[in-house]
Amino acid sequence: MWIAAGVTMKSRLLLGTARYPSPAILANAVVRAGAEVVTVSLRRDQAGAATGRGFLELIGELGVRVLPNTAGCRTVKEALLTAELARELFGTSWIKLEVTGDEATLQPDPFATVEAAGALIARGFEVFPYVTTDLVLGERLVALGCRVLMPWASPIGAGRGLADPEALRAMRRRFPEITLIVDAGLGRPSHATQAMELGADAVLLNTAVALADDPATMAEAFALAVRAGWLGHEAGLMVPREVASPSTPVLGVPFST
Amino acid sequence: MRIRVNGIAEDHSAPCTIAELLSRRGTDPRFVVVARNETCVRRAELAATLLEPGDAIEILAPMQGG
Repeated sequence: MWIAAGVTMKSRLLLGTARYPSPAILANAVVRAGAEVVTVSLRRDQAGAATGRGFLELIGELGVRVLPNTAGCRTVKEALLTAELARELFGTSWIKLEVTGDEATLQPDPFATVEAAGALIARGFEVFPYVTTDLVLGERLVALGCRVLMPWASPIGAGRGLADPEALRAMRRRFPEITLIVDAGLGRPSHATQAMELGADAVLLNTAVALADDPATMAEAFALAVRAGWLGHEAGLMVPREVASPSTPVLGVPFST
Repeated sequence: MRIRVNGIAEDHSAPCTIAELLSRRGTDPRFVVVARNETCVRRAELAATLLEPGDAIEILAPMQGG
C-alpha cells in the first residue's frame, strides 16, 4: 500500500488513457494493469459527437480514480483555466500540472510550473506537477505545498527509459517524504523496474502500453515489473562490487591441496 | 449576435443562454464543460448565463490523456 495525496492505494502503476486502438482495449489494459488511477484530459467538443460521454462512462465503469492533466498548455493562464475546467467536469481537485516549455522535448517549463502550482494550491487543488529532475525546482514546489512530484524518466513518448538514473536517485534522497511518481519516457517493463528499484513510489506510463501489439498483455507486464522493482527495493538491493566473490562456500572445496 | 464557439465564428439570435447554445448544437451539458471568455462556467450557471456579442466560448469534452 502507498499513499498519493492522502489517498491509500495498492497499485503503483498509473496508466494514461491515450492512443489505444479502441475503448475496449483501453479498458482491458486498465484491468490487466490493476491500475487505480488513470490520466485524462480535455479537448474541444465536436458538435453532436458523443465520444466524451462514452469515455466518461467507460471510466466510470472501470471504477478508477481520474487524474486530469493540463497537457498542451504553454502558459500559466492556460494551465489554471484548464485545471478549473477539469475540476468542474471530472469532479476532482487532483490535477497533473503540465506546462510545456520546450516543443522538441516537451520539457516542462519550470518557471511557469512553479507559478501555476502556487496559484492552484491556493485554489484548493492537489497538484501533481510534471517536472524534470531539477532539485531546485522540486524544492520550490514542495515549499509551495506539493505532496507529489512527477519527474520524467526521458521525454514523453520517447520510450528511452531512465535517461539519468542518478538524478532520480538524487531526487529520492532529497525528498524522502514526498511521493515520487516517475512519469514519461518508459518504454519497457524493465525501465519501470529500474525506476522502482531506485525508490520511486510509483510510475505513470501511457505510450509503451497503448502502442504495444497487445496493450492489455503489456499492461500486465508493466504491473509485474513495477511490483518486482518495488519488492526489490524494499528487500534491500545488494551493493555492486568491483571484483568477483564466490557464492558457493569456499570451505571444503574438494581436490584442493 | 456574433460569438466564437471553439474558435469558429457563429451567429446566434439573442437572447441566448449557454444552456440554449448547447441544446442548439445537440450537446448534452452533463458531458462537457464550458469556458466563457477564459473563465470556467459552473454547470449550475449554464442556464442563467446569457451570451453577449463577441463572447469567446470554449466547449470542452473529456478526452483520453497521458
